Parts: sequence; C-alpha cells; structure tokens
Amino acid sequence: MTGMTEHTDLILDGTKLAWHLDRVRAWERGERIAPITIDMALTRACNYACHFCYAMLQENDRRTIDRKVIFDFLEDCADIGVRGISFVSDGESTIAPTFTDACVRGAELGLSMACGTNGFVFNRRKLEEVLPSLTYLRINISAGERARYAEIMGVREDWFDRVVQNIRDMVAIKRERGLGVTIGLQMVLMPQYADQILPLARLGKELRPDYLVIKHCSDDEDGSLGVDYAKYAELEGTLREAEAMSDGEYSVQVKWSKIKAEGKRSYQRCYGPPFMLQISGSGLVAPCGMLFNERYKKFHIGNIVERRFKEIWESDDYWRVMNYLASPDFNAQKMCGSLCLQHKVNEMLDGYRKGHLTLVDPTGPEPQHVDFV
Amino acid sequence: MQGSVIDYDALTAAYRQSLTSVLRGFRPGGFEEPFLATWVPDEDDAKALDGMFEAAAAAKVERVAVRVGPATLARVTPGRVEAVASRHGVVTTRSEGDTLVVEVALDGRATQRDARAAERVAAATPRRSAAGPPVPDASERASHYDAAIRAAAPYTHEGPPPAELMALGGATRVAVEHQGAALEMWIDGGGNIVAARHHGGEGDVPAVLDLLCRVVGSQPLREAADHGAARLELSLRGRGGARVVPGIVSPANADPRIGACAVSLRALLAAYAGAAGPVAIKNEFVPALGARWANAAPPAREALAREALRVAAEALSLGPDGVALATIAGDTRVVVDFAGDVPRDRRPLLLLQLERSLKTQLDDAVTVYVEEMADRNRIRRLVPKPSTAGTP
Repeated sequence: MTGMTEHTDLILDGTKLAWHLDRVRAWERGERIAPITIDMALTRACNYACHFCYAMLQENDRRTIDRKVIFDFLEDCADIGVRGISFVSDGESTIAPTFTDACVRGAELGLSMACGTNGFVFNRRKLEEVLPSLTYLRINISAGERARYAEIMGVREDWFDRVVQNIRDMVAIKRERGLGVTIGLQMVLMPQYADQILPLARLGKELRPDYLVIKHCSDDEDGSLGVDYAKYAELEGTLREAEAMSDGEYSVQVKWSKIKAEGKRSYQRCYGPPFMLQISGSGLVAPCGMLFNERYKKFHIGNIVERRFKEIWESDDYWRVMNYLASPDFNAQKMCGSLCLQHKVNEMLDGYRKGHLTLVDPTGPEPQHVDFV
Repeated sequence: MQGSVIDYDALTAAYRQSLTSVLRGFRPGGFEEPFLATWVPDEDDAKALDGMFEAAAAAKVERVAVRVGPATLARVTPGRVEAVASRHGVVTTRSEGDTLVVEVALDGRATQRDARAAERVAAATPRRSAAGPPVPDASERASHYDAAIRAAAPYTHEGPPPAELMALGGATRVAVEHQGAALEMWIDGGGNIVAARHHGGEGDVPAVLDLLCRVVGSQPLREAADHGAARLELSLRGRGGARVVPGIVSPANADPRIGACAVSLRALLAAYAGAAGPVAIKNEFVPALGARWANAAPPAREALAREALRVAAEALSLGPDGVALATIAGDTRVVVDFAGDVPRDRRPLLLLQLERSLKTQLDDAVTVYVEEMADRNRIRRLVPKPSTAGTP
C-alpha cells in the first residue's frame, strides 16, 4: 500500500502530502516545520444560517482581524515557509472588509490563496478583482433548487438566484481572461438533503464550474448536529448517478472515503496539524477547527490579533500542543468530532508511522492545488 | 426605504461590531435596505461608498441618500465622495451640520473599476524554507533518558514467564533478537499479550527491554506494535519533561534505543501474523480504567476529583478557589471552571498542567476541559420537506 490516492489532476478525496516529502522528512527528524497549508477565516460571522454548519459548535472569544493583522499574518506565513492559505474555516470571509486585499496581498507574497464561500456578496466587479489572485474559489451550496436552498442554507429564496448568477459570472470571467483559478461547488451532504443531490449535479452541469464535490457533514464528538452516518450508505446509488454527470470539463466527485468511513477514524494519534493548521475567524490559533470551542482551551495556542503569527509558531506553547496531539495522551477516535480537514493527512502519516506504507517521491506532473494538502 | 438617509458612519460601525457579535444570519446592524445585504465595507472609505452605490444600483434602487459624518470626512474629502458617487448617477450634496449628505439618482451607468488587482502579477517571492532551532545530536537526545533507563532495576520481566502463565496454554510464543538480547511475547487467541519477557543483552539493553515489557504487557499486540514505543518514550521522559527535539517527538527521533523498540515490536507482530494469521490493522484500543477510578460511584469520583484539583491548584500556585470542578462527563472528562482572576492567557497551559496532575492522582485516562461556550444562535433543526421535483 502506498497510502496515496489515485493520481488524478484534481485530488479532492485524498492528500497531496506526497508532494511535500521534504517537509515530512524534516518532521520526522524532529525539526520545527511550518504548516504547508493554513485554513482560516477573516471573521466568525456569516450572512447565512446553514443547517449543517459545524462552526456553530465552535464558539470562542472573538476579535477583529483588520488589515494590519491579516497583512502581518500573511507576511509571517511567507517568511516561515507556509505555502497555501485558504479562507474557509468557521466564518464567511467575503463579508470581511479585508477580504479582497488579503487575497491580493497573499498572492503578491507568493502564497497560494483560496476561498470557500457562500458566494452571495460577490458581484462581477469583485470577481474581476479577486479571481486572478486565487488558486481556487469554492462555493458552498447544498441544494440545487430555490426553495430547498433557502431552507437548508437559512436564507431567502432570491439569494439562490444571486449566487447562481455569481457562479455564471465567475465561470465566464475565468474563460474570458484565461485565468488559472479553479471554480468549484461543494455540497455538504446530510442524509436528509438527498433529494438535492441530483438537482445540484444538474445545476452544476448547466453552470459549468470545474467541479462539484459532495462531502459528508462533520459533527462533534457529542453528535450535536445529529448527523446519522449510517444513512449515507443508502445514498450510494444517487451519488453514483451524480458522478455519472461528469464530462470533460465538469467533474462531479464524491468524497467516498469520508462518507464510507461513517465518521470513524482508523488512527488515534493526530499528526496532521503541524502540516495543515487552522485559525478561527476570531484570530484564535488552534490545531484544527474541531478544537476552536472554549471547552478545548488547553489546545489554544494564541491569537493573531494579539500576537504575530511567527511568534506563536515559534513558541513553546505551539509545539507543546502539537506534541500532545501526537502523544499517547491523545486519542482522536474519542476526543475529536467526525472526520476533519486533516483527516487524509492524518491517515497517511499514521500509516507511515506504523510502517504500513512507505513514502516515495512521486513522479509525473504535480496535481493542481498542490499547496493545499 | 428610498426616502431615508443611510448614516454611513453608524452603518460601518455597526457592521464592524456585528462581525464579532453576530454569528449567523449576519446583517449590517439596524438598517433595513435590502441592497445592503450585498454590501461589504472597505477600510478605504471611498471604496466602501463606491461599493454601497454599486450595490444599490444592482438592486435597481432609483435613489439613495448617504450621510457621511465628520470622522469619515477626516479621511476622505467631500470632493472625493462626490467623485465616487458620480460614477453611479446624478449627484446632489448638501451639508447638514458637520455631515455631508450625498444623494444619487442612480442611472445604471457602467462603472469601469480600476483593474489594478486584475492585472497585477504575483511577485516572484522566493519561498523560504522552514527554519527553527536545530535538532540536538543523538547523544544529547539520549542523555535525557539515561537516568530513567538506569533506574529500571530491579527487573520485573527478565527470564522465562511465571510457571502459572505457561500452564494456561493456548498462547502463541513469538520472539525477536533485539540488540543482542531476546524479546519474547506470548499472545492469546484474541491477539493480547499475556506475557512479555526478555533475556540477555548488555549495557542498557536489558533495562530498556524491561521497561518496554512493563509498558506493553497485557495490551493487544497490535497496540504494542502501533504505539508501544511511543508509550515507552513518554514514560521515560514524563509528561512534564522537556522534549528532546524542537518539533514533534517520535520514538525514532528521540533515542535510538527507543527507536529500536519500535522496530522489534513490529517484528513481533509480523512473526505473530506469520504463525497465527493476519492481524487486523484496525486499532481502537483504549486502556482500561484503573480499579479505583473505575469502581468509584459518581459522588466518590467527584470527591476524588475535587481533592485532586485542590492539590494540583496548590502546586500551581492557583490559590484555593483558583479552579473548581464543574462536572465529570462520562468516565474520563473532568470539566473545570477557573476563577475570574486567573489570567486567560495562562489557562491553556494550566489546563495541561492540571491534566497531568489529575492523570497521576486519579487515573491515566482522565482528561481536563473547561465548559463549552455555546453558540449564540440556536442550532437549526430542519424538518425535511420533499422536493417538488421528485426524489431519487
């Protein structure tokens, strides 16, 4: 077993860690490594109220990330060797006043920049400004029909129309200007949204983004969102039917590995966060989005509004927490919510540590979005 | 709505406040013009105003009036405000006290925005490699474990297993050569280690193997192979002990003596698989609770936890009321409250330190948390409605 998923151009259900083996080897030697990818938000606020929102479970003290804070942060990231910054995490970054400037500044510093968003506040002018700076732009959309969209995403029905138009515009701008940005749609699927799988896949086929990815819904270790993981199995036929709508330019991909895992992890130690860190829209630096809530305060390392990120990364607090997660005192099967952003990275590193797989420098072209592991 | 004047300064202040006070269903506070749902301010007030007129025009609003206060006018001149507004329609302005009211009859004229970002090419910034303190050399790292290894005597797992264990029968014996010594294990039909023994070897080898046998004894062999060496490392260093590398400690990078244990444990697993058949990769092992904690009823556990917290707080100079038990969730999750005067930035480390102490005093499985902070928005629960387009 190589531990690497099939090499496709766009790896949406796997990890690209194999293309960063220099950093894995440094980690193995016990060196302090910079994260390859940092996922963060510019605010915890969101203009939507999605039924499936995991961020609702991760409340913590909030600060304002202003222009100086985010610019300092991006500068520090470039300085220590971070490669990709995604604005996803626990808030809607496009409603933050600093959003466009942050994307542009990050790109200027040589960072790969990306965003996951509901897409509502965009207009053509804003898209023209921001798309050239992005590696990918992913729209969160868990329905393909107006009424259900409004119900699931917690907004008015006419907001669906605006988002659909914005998707048309971003696809058009990409084509007209020959931009490299990948435009994607993401469906967070709870079993009760099954009726929207095919309508959304059809909508995507009409709108022509590069992909539609369908993923499971994360829940905390107490099951607060009420996700019934056992019910995903009933959806396999419909999900396959959605994937069959793929064509040469539009790919529908299901994150099968996470859906079939039924929320369970094969590993107990958490090795992923040093490679793939998450920061809350409050500025809180924690290993991951599952540990943002105040209840997990022992994992909270600092806040970029109060302290430069580079200092936080260099601190003993940071490495103490990372070591705790990698130690026998931590059990991801018992202490974490269901499958996280770092899951595929964890699987690979855990398999490697246990001797189940070997690390081999990959040959051939790099996959897309290689800085987003 | 089109007759009202939008107070730009109040709106932007409310917007910024709402970014940290409203979690879900965010709207600029206190204003009801629907087009403002699509507007995002900018730290550059001229851009922010431009965006506001643009949002109004996109929403087919015919007229919009905006009041700009003195604080904003200190940053952007009235002339600039008027110039920005005039991109979107016919502008009239008037002063009202120290504010400027700008009215725009929006006429849908296209605004060619400065395409600075669209044309900008990312600067070719050299990618810096990660840097940090150097990893100490192997002998320095090993020196952290010497004292604990040398304190292993008297050995408890040397030589053949006790006769009563051998009399049970049914166990599979596996053995490997480990740095001149022999490491043997007897595994029952369920894959659990019933005996772990060593003999031979020179120098530190017997001590290391004895300590390893103590750590992994009675665990599943799978668990021993997966995590046994790491458990050994942690037991030698101690939870509060200094880490021997600046990054993430592992058996391999901590000390070659510990790294060799990881290799031998995997070899034992492979030998067992060869003798008894494949061993499932899945590992969900959780160590059993200690008898005292396992057998204590909830009131007794709470009493034990309170006393342990008192002892831990004293050792950490927290004061008698610095930390209190809130609740015990499940078997292992001790939830605490800090007194208000405990500095917030100290609390993460204090929680880890409290946990270390409680693991020692109560049970190795105990973990420490603080109370959950609840979302200010109620978690939505949908009643599924069938799609009118038909269901799969």
